[in-house]
Amino acid sequence: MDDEEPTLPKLPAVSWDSHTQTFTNTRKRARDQSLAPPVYTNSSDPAVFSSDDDPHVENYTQGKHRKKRYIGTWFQQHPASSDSAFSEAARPLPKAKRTFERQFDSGVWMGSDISVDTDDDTVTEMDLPALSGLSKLPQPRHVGPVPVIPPSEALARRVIQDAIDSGVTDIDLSSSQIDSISNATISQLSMLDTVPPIADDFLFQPKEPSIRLFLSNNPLSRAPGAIFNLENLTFLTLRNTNITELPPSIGKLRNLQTLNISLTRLQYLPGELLDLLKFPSKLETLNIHPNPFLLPDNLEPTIVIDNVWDESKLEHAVLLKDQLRPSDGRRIRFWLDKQYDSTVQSEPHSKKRLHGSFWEMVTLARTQVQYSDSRGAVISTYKLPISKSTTADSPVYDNMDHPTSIIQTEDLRSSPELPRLGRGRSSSVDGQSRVPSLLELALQSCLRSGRLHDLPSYLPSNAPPHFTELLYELADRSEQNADSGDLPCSICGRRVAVPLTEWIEWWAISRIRINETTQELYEERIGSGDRERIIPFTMRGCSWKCLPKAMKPGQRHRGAIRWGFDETYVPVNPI
Amino acid sequence: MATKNISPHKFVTLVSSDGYEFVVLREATLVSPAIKGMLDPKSQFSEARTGRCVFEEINGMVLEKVVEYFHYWYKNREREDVPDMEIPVELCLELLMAADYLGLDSKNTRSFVS
Repeated sequence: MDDEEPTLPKLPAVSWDSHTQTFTNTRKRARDQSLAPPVYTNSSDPAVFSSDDDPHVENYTQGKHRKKRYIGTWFQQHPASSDSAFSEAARPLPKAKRTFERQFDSGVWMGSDISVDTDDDTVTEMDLPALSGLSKLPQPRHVGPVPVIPPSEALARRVIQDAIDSGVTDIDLSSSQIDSISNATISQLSMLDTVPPIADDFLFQPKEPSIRLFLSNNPLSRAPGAIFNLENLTFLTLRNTNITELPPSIGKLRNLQTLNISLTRLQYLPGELLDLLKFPSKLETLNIHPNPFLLPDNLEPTIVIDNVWDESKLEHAVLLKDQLRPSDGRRIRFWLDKQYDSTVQSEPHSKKRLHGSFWEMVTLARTQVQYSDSRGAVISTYKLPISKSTTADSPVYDNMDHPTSIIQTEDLRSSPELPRLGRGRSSSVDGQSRVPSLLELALQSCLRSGRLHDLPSYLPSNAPPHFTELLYELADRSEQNADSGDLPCSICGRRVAVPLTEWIEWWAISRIRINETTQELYEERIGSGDRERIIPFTMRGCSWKCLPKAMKPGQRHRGAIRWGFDETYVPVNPI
Repeated sequence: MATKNISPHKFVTLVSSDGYEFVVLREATLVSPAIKGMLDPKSQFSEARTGRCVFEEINGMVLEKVVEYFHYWYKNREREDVPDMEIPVELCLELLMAADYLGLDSKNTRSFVS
């Protein structure tokens, strides 16, 4: 049978030469078993099939299987053996040894990639010759670090998550060795909700949770800004932490009843804290001592607090309903002053009653005013020792043994003067305008974008370098200040990205309590001793017209309740 | 305005890099020290003679906002309650650059320009 049928030419034998990396067309399979690399790189046993002649494993792997009789591509195949019917010329030439180089557009992932190109930079720096003609797209200059959750952070997250799950409003993170908490963790707390009490004869009313946050006894270096977005926060303690600054957004915590910031590194408080004490204030307990507060160099020796009511004050006053008749026969009246606080309206307040106690804030001293331009560069010769540009050589920080430092003050009764800006330029307050500069307006617009960290990379290459710094500074501030990079002006309340005027005021705070039975007033002072009475607050203005007004030492804060003995009242003779 | 031979026109023309022209009240543009210097009749700049300033660095969209700001400043410079001026977020960086170039800083935004 075989003789009659035409047979195919005998297929060439082929063998793989491991040294030259080519198929050699040898008739004999002269493979050295010891030199040959193992055929299977994985550790599993080779497959054994039932159709195999010899089921022995060695026979299968090292047997004379006759594969690869043709070599070359599918469209250019030729027999791999010399003993074929084809001529010798058809034999493929031995291949040149391939150089091991990378072809970027081959689409083949090479094993060497993993060992060589582990850095991200090599990917971004890969030049694209085809795209060189096109304009280069802006690349982010600063690649943010990969967030790694520190153990303290993880603990805080767990505690907060537990509180949210169980509806507990007391978040106790005290003495937990927390050195930093991210805003993302804290802002979870805004989701906290309590189960309202449900009874048969009550209407269902959603109850606002009153969150109590304990962060005391931690090496916390800055208070996470998201705290000051929690409107339901009623209790906040940052006692015995390392915070150096309290952000102005503290003024947003309108429901706060207790604030404890003693034993921190605060040198001054934000002026917005004074607004929290304005009537009607929910704040009842305030612990702010001891702290390394800044002290004024010169203090008025005698401070006369004006506690006399007379008819001349009626013009600006909004009288409160409450009156006291102490045992000495005089009469005490309470009023609010419209003159200093435009928000005071006569109608709602006159019906309001005092509830046992209120805050009294009395001005004591003030520094000179520091003027800066819209970029935040200080123009005036006077610089506050707390401003960031002077931190490096400031004596405040050099002298750590004496953390409290004494700074220069100005007469409270005088109006601040504007800085001299060269010859021939008007430097009167009247010549100033309240219109914000275009630079300021553009910066406010940047703040609204919400992508402050990315903005510097979009600045054109010819942009002055201080813009990059300024934008990063604003981004940093916005992070610390409950996501609002702009600050309220202490004078007019307008939001400002870069404050143009800054100064420090010292105030004395006390809680005035009314004894209903004896009809007398008791003063509870914040801070004991003369040194602790004086509390510094930072103030800022949005234009060069927003300046501190001339005040008398002892004058009360504009939003505070005034009280005085009615001189016009003639006591009825007691029986 | 000391020189008598040149009587400055009440309006000036600001030209953007892409050819848009804005005719603006001269007094309103004086808030920018850069433009003020260009238009100073004592200077020998061609801008002072022709009353036409060409800004190669500022495109039409940004210059339109700048011109809007000039009028905003001019209208509100002596007011106590200044309304807000809306700046679109997408223009904020370009306006930042333009404001820097034109010197529209707070130290220059006074209500009186001598």
